[in-house]
Amino acid sequence: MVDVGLLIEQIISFIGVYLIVTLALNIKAGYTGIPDFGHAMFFAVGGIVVGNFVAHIAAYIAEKQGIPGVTLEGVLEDNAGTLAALNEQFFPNAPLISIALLVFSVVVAVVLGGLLGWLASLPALRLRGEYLAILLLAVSEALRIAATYTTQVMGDTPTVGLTVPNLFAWVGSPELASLAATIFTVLMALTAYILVERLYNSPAGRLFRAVRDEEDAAKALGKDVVIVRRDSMIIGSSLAALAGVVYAINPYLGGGSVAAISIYNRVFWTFWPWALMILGGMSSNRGVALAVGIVGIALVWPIRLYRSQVTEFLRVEQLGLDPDAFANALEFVFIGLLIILVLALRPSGVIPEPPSRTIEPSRRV
Amino acid sequence: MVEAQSLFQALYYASVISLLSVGITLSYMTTRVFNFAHVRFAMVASYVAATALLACIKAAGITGDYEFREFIGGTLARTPMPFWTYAVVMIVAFIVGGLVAIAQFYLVLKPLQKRGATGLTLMISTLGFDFILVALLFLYMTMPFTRGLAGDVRSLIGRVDFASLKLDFLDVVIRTGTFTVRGVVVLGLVFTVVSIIGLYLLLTKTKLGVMMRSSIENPNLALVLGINVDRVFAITWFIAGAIAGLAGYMFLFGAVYLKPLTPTTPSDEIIVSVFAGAIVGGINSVPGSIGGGFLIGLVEKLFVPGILSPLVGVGIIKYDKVFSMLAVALTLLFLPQGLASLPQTKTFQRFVAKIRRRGGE
Repeated sequence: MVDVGLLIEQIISFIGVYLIVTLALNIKAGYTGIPDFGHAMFFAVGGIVVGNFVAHIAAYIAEKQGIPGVTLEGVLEDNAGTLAALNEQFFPNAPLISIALLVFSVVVAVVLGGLLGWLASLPALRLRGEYLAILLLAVSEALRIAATYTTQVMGDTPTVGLTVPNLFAWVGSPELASLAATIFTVLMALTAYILVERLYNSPAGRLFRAVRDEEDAAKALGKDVVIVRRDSMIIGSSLAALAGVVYAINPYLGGGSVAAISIYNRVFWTFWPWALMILGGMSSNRGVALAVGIVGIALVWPIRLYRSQVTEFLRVEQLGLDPDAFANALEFVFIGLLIILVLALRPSGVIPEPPSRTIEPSRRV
Repeated sequence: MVEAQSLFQALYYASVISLLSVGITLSYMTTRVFNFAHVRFAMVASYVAATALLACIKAAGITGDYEFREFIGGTLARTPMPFWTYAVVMIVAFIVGGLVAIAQFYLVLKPLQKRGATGLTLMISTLGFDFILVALLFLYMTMPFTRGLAGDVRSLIGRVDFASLKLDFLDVVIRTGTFTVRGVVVLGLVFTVVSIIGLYLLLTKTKLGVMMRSSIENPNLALVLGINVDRVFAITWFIAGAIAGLAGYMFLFGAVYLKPLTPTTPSDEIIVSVFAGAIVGGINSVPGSIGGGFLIGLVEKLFVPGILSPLVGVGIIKYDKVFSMLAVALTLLFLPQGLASLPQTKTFQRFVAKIRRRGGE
């Protein structure tokens, strides 16, 4: 029997993280028209900040406090053991440090994500369209491989990944800690939605869309197109890094580990957000929220969770098929068909781009 | 010093990248879409070809246990296979690759183009098609008739040793020191050269090739002249897919040189290099993409492990993809239009002129 409360928490966490990461992509690709196919690398920044930086700081403090089994070097050399000791003996008794580290990881991830976005924007100023998309895809893949095999980043066992410090252990029992992480995810997702929606109507957001639609007109009005595209990359990328932090911290999603090879890949964090954005409608935040919600609640998560029931219902085994592979295939067919059908039937998405709502005069400062 | 063995491995890998880059270029030239599903054509072809190989073995009457695990480890390694089995398998891979490409062209791209989709939209749709192909591969692996074959493929990672196959007519043994080159590898390289030459002849010497080139250059004018542009594009896609099928054939026999077969991994790891090869080549040029594919492949598998790692240490080998991206960046810095624009550069023309002058003396 499936625990309904648990299921709801999982669905909410899934929707929360995908909402942030898709909205981040929406700023770049939807608002400004930069075809960022390297989105996953900004997302991975958040994971590395939590799995590596935060773990190091916590281990440093814990070593000073003399907690057994924790050394600074151990974070990379014996990641699983050190982090287990930290999660059991250090974090439950250190609420203030945990909160400080949470704030730290968010801030650092946003800054680093923005920095990487700035670097990635350098070619974005020269190249256009599909060329840029492929270039960013290649850079993202090269960086992912480089990060994975650099022991200073991913430790000695990159395939296993880094164990995530449990920053909510001080709340109490594991269930409560998970609940706290879910609430954190929801808060971050709401904040991101409000910020991105405000950006849409703000002068900066309108300028982004102006550059996307009529670059020459924007230039003629004295706007520096290069700077506009760069800003868009920085904002979108730092938001993606934030999503990475949220994902890593959430026990329902990160699975307690940050594995660059298997989890922070381009299928889940570049292609899926693209699919969700197209599905919802490019540069339409409501559309994106709706798409993430639909995919999260109605289809993907139940397929993953109830895979045995689904395959049983379809009598897969009687047909001589392997139920596990069948469920995998079902998921891929579902998302693939969804993309193609939406592109064919509703090219501008479920909810097309809304007109700008400028701020009322009375509310202007 | 680079050993002959690593040289052959690098050449084999580079051939695969090159064959796939050509297909990316061909499909981009016709439909203006970067096809994310292209490398998956090779995977599909390679799985079907593996099934065909099993069927051939049964047809050839070679006795033994046909469980795939046993088949690779035991039966096949000891039994010289008749030549026709390899030919049949290759033809199967060729046709399957082409058919998958045509399916994508008619089922996904054409309908979308009719509705006015362009550029990025089409590119996203190829992602969708790629997901569907992955799903089909997962299913194919578990079909009752392939279970002995493909069900075990997942557990075979690292143990597939096709390179030790005996190829009775072509078991060329080139000895340099302790190293012997197997016939399969030589055959793979020969295939690449033959298909590149074939493609060149097709494009330049046949009527179909002229039709293809004119449809690419100016579709409207070609239509006026009575060329069925849609069908020509479909044929181009078939060729692109069929060449990918050949690459899939090389996946099957080069499991030591490439990664072993699973529905997702080899194509997922290679696709970035393939795109890089096509872009370095200048994306609108078939010869350019061949050169680009070889450049990328050789940087990854020859330059980094052979030349760089003795200088800086073995750890650098893991970063091979980083260096191929550097190669892309450097090439595009000096040749913004890609390798295809090399003959137009002043340095190159001066160089050619110098050679001609010397030849005239």
